[in-house]
Amino acid sequence: MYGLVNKAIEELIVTQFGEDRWETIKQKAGIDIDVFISNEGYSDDITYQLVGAAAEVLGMTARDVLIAFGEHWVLKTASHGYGAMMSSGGASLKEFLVNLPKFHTRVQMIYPNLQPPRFECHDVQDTSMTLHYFTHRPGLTDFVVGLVQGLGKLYHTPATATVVALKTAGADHDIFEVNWTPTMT
Amino acid sequence: MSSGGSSISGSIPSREFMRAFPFYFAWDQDDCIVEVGPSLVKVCPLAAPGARLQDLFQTMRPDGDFSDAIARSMPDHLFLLKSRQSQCMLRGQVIILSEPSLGIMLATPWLTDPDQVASLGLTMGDFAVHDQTLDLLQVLQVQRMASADLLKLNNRLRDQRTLLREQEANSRKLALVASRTDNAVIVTDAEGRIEWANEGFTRMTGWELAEVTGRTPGSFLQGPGSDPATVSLMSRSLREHKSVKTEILNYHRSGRSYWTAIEIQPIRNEAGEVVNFMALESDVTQRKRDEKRRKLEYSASRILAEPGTVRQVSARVIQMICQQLGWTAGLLWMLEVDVKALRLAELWHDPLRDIAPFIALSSKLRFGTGLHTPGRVLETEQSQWCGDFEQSSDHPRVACALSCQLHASIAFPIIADGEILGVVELFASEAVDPDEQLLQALAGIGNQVGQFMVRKSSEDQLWRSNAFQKAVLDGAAHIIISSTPDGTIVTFNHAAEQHLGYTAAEVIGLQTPAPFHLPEEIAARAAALTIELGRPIEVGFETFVAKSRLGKPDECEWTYVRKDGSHFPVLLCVTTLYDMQGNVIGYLGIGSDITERKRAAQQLHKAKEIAEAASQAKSDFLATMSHEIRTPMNGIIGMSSLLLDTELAPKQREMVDAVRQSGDALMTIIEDILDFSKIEARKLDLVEEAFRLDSVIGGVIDLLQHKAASRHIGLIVRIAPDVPDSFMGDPGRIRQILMNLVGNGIKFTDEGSIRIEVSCLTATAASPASLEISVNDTGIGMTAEQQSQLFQAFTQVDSSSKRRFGGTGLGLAISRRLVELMGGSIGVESKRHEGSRFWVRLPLRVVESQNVQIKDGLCVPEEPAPPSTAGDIKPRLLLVEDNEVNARMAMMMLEKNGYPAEVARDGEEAVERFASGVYDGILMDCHMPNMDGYEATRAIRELEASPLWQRPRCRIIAMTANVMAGERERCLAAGMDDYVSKPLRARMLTAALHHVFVLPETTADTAAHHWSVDDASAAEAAIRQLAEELSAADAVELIENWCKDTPERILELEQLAGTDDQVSLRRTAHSLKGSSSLFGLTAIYSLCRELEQTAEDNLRTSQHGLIAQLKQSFESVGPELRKLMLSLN
Repeated sequence: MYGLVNKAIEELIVTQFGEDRWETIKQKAGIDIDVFISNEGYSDDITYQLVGAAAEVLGMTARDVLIAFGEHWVLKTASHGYGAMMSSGGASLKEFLVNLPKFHTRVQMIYPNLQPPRFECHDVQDTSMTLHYFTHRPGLTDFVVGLVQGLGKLYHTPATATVVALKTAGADHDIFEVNWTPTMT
Repeated sequence: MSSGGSSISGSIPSREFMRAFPFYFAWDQDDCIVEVGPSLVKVCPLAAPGARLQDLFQTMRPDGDFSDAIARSMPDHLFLLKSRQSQCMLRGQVIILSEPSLGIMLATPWLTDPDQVASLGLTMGDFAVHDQTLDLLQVLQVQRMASADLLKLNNRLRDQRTLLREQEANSRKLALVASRTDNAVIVTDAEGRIEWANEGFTRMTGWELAEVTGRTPGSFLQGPGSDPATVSLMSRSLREHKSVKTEILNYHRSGRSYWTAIEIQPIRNEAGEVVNFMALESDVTQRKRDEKRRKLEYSASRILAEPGTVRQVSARVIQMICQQLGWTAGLLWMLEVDVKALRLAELWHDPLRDIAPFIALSSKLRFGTGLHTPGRVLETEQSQWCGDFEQSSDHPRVACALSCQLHASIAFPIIADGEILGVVELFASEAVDPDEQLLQALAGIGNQVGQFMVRKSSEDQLWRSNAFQKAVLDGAAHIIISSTPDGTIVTFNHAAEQHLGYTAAEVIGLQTPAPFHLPEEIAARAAALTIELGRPIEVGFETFVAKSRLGKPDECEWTYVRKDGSHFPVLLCVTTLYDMQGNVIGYLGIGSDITERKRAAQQLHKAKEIAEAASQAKSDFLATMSHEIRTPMNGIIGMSSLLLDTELAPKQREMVDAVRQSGDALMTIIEDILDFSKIEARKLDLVEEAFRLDSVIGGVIDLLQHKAASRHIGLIVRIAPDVPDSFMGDPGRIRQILMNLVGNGIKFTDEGSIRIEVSCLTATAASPASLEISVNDTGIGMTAEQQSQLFQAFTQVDSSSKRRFGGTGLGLAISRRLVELMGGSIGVESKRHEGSRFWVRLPLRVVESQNVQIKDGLCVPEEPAPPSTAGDIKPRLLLVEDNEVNARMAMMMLEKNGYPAEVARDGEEAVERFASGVYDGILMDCHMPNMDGYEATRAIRELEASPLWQRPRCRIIAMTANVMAGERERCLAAGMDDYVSKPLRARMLTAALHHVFVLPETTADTAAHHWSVDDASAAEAAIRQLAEELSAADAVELIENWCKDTPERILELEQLAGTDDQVSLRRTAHSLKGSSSLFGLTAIYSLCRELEQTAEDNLRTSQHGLIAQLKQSFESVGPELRKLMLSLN
């Protein structure tokens, strides 16, 4: 995983809980890295350990950590880190979600060595769609829930993602039923 | 190209071309746009068919305007254009088509900042799928983030490096401090074995690091004096990996002990395991000593504050010092002041040590100054330290001490107020190095003990004083009450309880003595004090103390009210109590029950009234007796005088003369007795008037110089220069005293002189002068016994003198009484055959005036002038007298002198006769039946006052035997003009009659100066007094001299009047004034005084007039004086 991800976790912890907690979590996770470099690849374990340690140190569930992380990713990290890409992603939540597969395809093209997830949008309606999530990384289902919620906040269109199929439960991939409330704009 | 039309090339469908190149544009040969891609308008809104290339774009690369011509000249070239409208760059390649002739720019926006996408409103859909612009922007963005991350990493590394360097520097400093500090720093391993120690450790312990590495510090630093409990505490703390802080006695490598404060901290690794211990040690030996010294001083102070006798407390102090220092014994030597030697007074020794022989020896010894250690302390007043007896002298006491295992001593003085009171000597059982600080501490304790002894002595005295005071208070019969300055009662003694009925407990603490007092008395006293002190005195406590606060005890009578409401009188003396600084600390009231005294005083008062009544009776009796004696004496003297004027045989004349002289002598005695009895009866009043002392003395000299000269005795006057000129007092009585003293001097001196000396002891206008006048003679002198009787009445020096000198013996007694009346004293110093010195001391107020001295000198007596004769015009008289004999005798006297007279037998008859008859004068007896003389006189004066009365005022002369005080005034008040006393003497009568003139028929004023009744009576009284004081002959002689001298003086005054020599004029007038006062010549006296005043004030114009009046007065006085002289003879 690129350093950008771990950096996003760091940002989330430091801004919400303080530097000391971050140091504790790092110590807990056994991570001796002072600065994550955004475009440097790191072992996925690091990310998993950080999330696990954060849940333990902060007294939260891993699910809550991942949802918070997903929201943070959209609202802070992606908005900043992928500024042009994000803003070129669409003018509304629906447009963005529809563009999401294209977006990731694009990312794959930019970083040939990267293994980003793949999304597919089906049954696209005015206030819902089915989001198909393909990844080789386990355990990030709730992260996607957080991402959708974050996008809802970004576009001022409250949105929910409900898991309808889980890879861990035997499905081919995770499937989410995404619903949003259309806004006046 | 239209969206639905054919493509530029013809082979690529127009729609596909536009998807591949959404930002393309095509132009013709005129540089006009003919086609644009769908996305171009987002970056170049004016780009539409017909628009000119130059209006839309500026060529950035290559430089210059973009045109069809340029595009054709540069095939296969990359162009970078800038939209003139949006400033957006467009980059691309130009394709030139020949048919139709068009130029096509295959452009895409050139973006260098991801933000430009949003600002230009571009989305992903605006770009061709193959377009890398957004991807590159993404890569660029990520790269930028990575750069920021690297920068952050770099900063963090730099910060860490800085921190590391600082830590290294600090470590180096700490290492330096650890190695250089005076404190010992030891680092051990986890088992306490030394790994490292600093230089301070070596300095403190004497051990080098190399010698002790691997050893535990306790194994070589601790010793027998190290406290086992502390050692155990340290071991336990280290075992439990706890820090520890304590103090312990350690030993230097040399064996010397020292106190160290030690702090041990465990050092842990990152895992929290103890890997080392660090010990920090500091030498606190000095602090320990100071503490010990302070503890000694504190303990001494504490013991000295405990109760006990001086000896007991001193012994406890010695015991404490020995125990705290670990010494074996202590001795207190007290100085016996009388023999100046020290003697053993108290001792203490460790009960576990047997030093009996040493104690036995010491108790026998006494040390004088300089002898052995205590004696040396006595001599030097300094502490002495004998660290090792082995090195000391071979005094037997030292040998004995060594035998008792005493090896060292220290001795220090007990001093108070710079005086040595004793010496304390302490003994140790081992040699001890001198410790200067300990010596100082002990010297301090010596001072403390000294002050304690002095304080104790003062306390004892105070206690005794308090005991005495308590005994006085308890035993006193007087009521004693004291209060604080605000009136709170603090003392109420037993007598107060007994008298007032309150207990002390009931009264102490009250803030007022009012319950024992009557409110009206307090108010009255306050009012009285307000007037006396001249400021408002508050009614209350202030009333009791206001006066005593002025500095003197205030004694006042009060009525005390007992608790049961009954009253008793008390004399309360209130005293203000002050402290040494003069501040009021309270008030003391001592009250005496004066019930008995009051009763006694009342009895005394009654007794006094009885005695006074008796005395009055005596005086009245004397007055009556004198009257009763005078009346027959009148007959005897008058008749014998008349008989002498008849034809008598020589033998008969001799006998009648004897009768006459005996009568005169008897009258003199009676008058002396009367004078004395007047004084005794306190009926003699002194006058208070200004007078010149020199004129009084001059008058006495004038009167007596003739008599003195006749006995060849000189009269000398010496007046000290500082004696003031004038005084206030009774000059007549002072003259009487001096006449008596000088007269006595002349009487008892056969040869030599009489010296009158005047000196002044104090003399200011503010306070009375203490004037001393002494009369010194060279006469026969007196024995002490004679002197003691001298001033008593009716005594004379001795019988022989009595025979020789005569007199009543009342002169000095009268003088003494007069001097005492004036508040002075009189005395005598005399030796037999060596003369006498009589002195009189009088307190006289000084009158400020110019000083005129009578110069010292010998007064030379002069021959007397021959008496002149009286005139012979005889007025007609009315004699009013009820007594047959007296009337007959008076008629005979008048007839003899040729006065026509008639007799009236009482007042009534007198008034009747006066109303119908013609009289020029009346002789009026005062005491008569029916109407007395006073009433008759008043009736006559009323007649005269009538407008119908044609004759001038008739002169009325009183005749009375009542010579007591007030009689003369009574006569004058009734309207009488003159006064003669009975028995009638021819001389006095004729003198009085000289003022009676034949009256004209009608009243008429005359300017001529008359010799008035007042003049006559004053002169007669004065001259008579002179005659009494001296003798008739002396008085005559004085008058004659005065009559002779006075015309010369008047002439002198006439010459001086109006001249510049006013001093001489004043002196002459003053002299004449003094001499005229001798004879009671008031008119002349007044004129002289006025003249004197004009001289003093330099008012010369009136002087001639005054002297003319003086001359006239003297001319009228001369005949009268001669008549008076005749009456004396």
